[in-house]
Amino acid sequence: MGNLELLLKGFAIVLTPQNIGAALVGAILGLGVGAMPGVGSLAGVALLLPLTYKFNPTTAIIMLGALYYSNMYGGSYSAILLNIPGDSPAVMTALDGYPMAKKRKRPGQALLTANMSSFIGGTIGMIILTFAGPGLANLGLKFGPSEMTAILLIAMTSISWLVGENPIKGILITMVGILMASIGMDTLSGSPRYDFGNMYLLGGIPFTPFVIGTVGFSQVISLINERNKTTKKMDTKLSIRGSMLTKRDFKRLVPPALRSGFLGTFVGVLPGAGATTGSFMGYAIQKKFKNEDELGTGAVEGIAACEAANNAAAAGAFAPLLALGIPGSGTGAVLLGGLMMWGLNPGPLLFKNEPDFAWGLISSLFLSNILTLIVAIMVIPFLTKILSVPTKYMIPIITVVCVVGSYSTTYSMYGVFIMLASGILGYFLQKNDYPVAPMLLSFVLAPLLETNMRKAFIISEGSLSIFFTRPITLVLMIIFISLITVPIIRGILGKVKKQKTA
Amino acid sequence: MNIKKKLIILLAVLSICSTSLIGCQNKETSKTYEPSSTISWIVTSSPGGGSDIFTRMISDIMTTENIVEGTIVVTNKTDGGGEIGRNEVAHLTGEKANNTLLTFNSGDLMPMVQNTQNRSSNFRILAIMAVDKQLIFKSEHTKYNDFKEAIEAAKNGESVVIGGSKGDDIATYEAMIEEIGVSQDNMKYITYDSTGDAITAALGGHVEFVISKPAAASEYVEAGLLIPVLALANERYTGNLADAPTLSEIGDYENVEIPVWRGVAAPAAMSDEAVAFWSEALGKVAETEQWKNDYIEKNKLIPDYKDTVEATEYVTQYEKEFMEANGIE
Amino acid sequence: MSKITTKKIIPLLFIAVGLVFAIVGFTHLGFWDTVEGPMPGFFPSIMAIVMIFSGIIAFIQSFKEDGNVEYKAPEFLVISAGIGIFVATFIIGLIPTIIVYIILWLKLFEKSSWKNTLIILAITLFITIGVFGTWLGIQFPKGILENIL
Repeated sequence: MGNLELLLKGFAIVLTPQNIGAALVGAILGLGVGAMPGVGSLAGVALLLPLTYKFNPTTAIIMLGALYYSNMYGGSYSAILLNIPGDSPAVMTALDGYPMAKKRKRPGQALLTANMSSFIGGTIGMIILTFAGPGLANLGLKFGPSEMTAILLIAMTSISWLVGENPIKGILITMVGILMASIGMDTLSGSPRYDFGNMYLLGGIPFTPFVIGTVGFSQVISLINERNKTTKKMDTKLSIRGSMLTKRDFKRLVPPALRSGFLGTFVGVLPGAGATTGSFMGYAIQKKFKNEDELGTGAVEGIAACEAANNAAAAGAFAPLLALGIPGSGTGAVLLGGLMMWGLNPGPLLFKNEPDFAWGLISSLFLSNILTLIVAIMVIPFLTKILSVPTKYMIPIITVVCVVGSYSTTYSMYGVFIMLASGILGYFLQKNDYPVAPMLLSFVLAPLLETNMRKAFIISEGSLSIFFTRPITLVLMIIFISLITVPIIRGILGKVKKQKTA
Repeated sequence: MNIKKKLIILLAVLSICSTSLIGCQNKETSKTYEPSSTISWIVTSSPGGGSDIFTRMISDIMTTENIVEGTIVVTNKTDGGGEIGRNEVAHLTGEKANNTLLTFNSGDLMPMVQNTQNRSSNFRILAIMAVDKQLIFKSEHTKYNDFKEAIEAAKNGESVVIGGSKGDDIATYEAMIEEIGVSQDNMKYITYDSTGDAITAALGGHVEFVISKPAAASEYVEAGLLIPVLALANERYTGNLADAPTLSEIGDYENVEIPVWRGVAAPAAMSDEAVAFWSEALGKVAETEQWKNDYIEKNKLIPDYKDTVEATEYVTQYEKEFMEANGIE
Repeated sequence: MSKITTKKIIPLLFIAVGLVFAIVGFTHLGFWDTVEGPMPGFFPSIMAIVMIFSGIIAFIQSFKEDGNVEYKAPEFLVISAGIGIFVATFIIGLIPTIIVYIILWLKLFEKSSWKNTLIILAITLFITIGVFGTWLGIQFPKGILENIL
């Protein structure tokens, strides 16, 4: 039986009133959880897992799948409206989403751009998953430490595209992110480092409070200066119609969304990379393409690139999860735990032993993708009302949300402390023209790069040859090396030419 | 509202207050322990992981089987790699100490002893619920036919790479290569964040062998992607893992078995009555069908309930041996 | 002659952090093992050195940059409010702290009407207690009062 046929059979299983209801509930809950800063999809799925025990496995996983999936949509809401990323992949969404909502006064369009691109990215991911899922999962397996090192090196160079006008400040801030991320337990040696004898630092700096602080709370501190400006009545209409994208927006949205959709799916399949890396890379690559507005100033392309990549990665992560029983992320691990609770054995035999279930799940992803889009568009008018609340009232509300959200990530005041400290840090950095995005990006990527590089060296007994003798690694390394050398050579050539003509 | 009605309400309120006060006093004066209406149970790892499932399963059985009345609130405290949560529980006092539990496994004890001053003596060990052991698996990419070949290769100076998770797996690996008598440079260990990640690496052929507990590897063995090559136990496993020999079968070695245990601890200040109560309650859980079928059976664990006396002795001994092996004062 | 401003302090601070990380990395964590390759201190130490150098360049650049960064008093009020919430939570618990904070902030600082204050208070409490507390089941700290009650 072809995959398409199996998928259609899956739809036949999924499309019962009960399952559609479950997907709808999952979509709504997921949007809500996703929009709450601090409660990422991991906590969301984990918290709602017990709710689903009462259902049969298919219905339950449909609900959870919808929830996980719509979480990715929800994360962009608070990023666009409040500049507080609801989850880590939404960090990049905030870069353009918030300016588009605030400065360009197009909050509805910003939200709709995010939703539409999420939809496109997710759909691409799901189609690839349907037709090439097991194959992709096996390709992902080929990516060992040396291949991942090369990929991450390429990803790290993309940071330089985000640096902005002052490269030195960009490098400095990138290093700050790397050093912060190196605090805590070193997995490979099993010993703590840079904990300075502090028990809290043993576990490292939690990412979500760090993001809420550097992006969200620092924002509140600067916002205080705008509180007495009379909030102009929003001239945008707070309706779905008023949020509609123009033809032009749509034209700007589709190419980056398609590109990021493919890229994101691929990143999602890789072991340990995840949606955050996906959205970072999608955004960074978009920098290399032509954008109507400069990225970071509220460009449609920016929102589209990261949101599409994010959702595509979420879909891509299902490939190793379903085909091999390998969870690509913490959330995947919880879903896996859920499967086991229902007596299903996820793993290489899932497609063979439980085809109804496996294909039902995949088709439910399609279903929840559509349902979430509908729900998401419906709530836009209500959400944009948030922006008409005067700034002086928003300040205490956002402060509280920052505190409660960062508390909720680790259930401890340590999270709140990190949020405040990084908020103050972020405030001083922004005041002095340091870009914050490179710091967040390197915070996520550097630990991945480091562990993969060290694993590669353990395997090769400290020899560099491992990076040049394996075919996939070699190709990736060539891409990496040309990425760093080409601009330099071009620069030198340009200078030479100038001198000749001069 | 007339005065009569008001009086009746007032009386009702007063009587509720007084009974609850008497109730409180009873609790304090009498020697028998009654758990309070909300029990706090701390898990020092994230939701969805092995310890979390273990804890939620027990608390679920405790409430559905009416072993404990009232609600059990499970909280995941992951700060400082779990050390903060463990430290907090260790130092609780008063009524709270009697109503707080902590999931405590060998995988928690090792980093705690290695990286902090906290010791198992700072807790009351209530019970051990189950024990797990490991096996070594190879994948289709592995160039050695069995583990014996790999040992010989390592002794001849080749480098053999084994992947595995943190904590328990490393301890077992170290005990094993010490018994075999090869150096860590010839038989290397790569630590992954989880067993799942290590298996992924083995499936991709990036490590030669992977060390895993039976539950995590079972599906892959079933599918023929992983082949068990060595049982790190005193006797062979049964079922689809029966083919794996123990260490003594493949050479002139002693068997290596480092049991991985899952237990429950409480603050040092918990009263003896409360310790007895909880130890017994956990014993009752261990007897239920739900526990045997939905937890032990499903995760291929060895049921091994130890009450507070046995468990304390066991954990103390385990800690002592671990500290000696790692040169911790 | 330019004054000491945050434009100069920030690079200096980062240089100091870089030094600490590099020294700890080299001396305590180990740099390179002949068999294993990079040790725990390898990666961070290199990054710390890059950070020190870029910090020095940024410090030199800061002399060329003109224009002081302007800090305004209300900005620090937000920061102190944040710290205040943090400290007060340990004493009276998170929820009461939030209530007190909202009322004090809106009444004393913003001089809002009681009506608006109560509306904002209701919204915040809905988010904290309703969404985070009840729905997501997050238990908030009760401060030292918890032990007394």
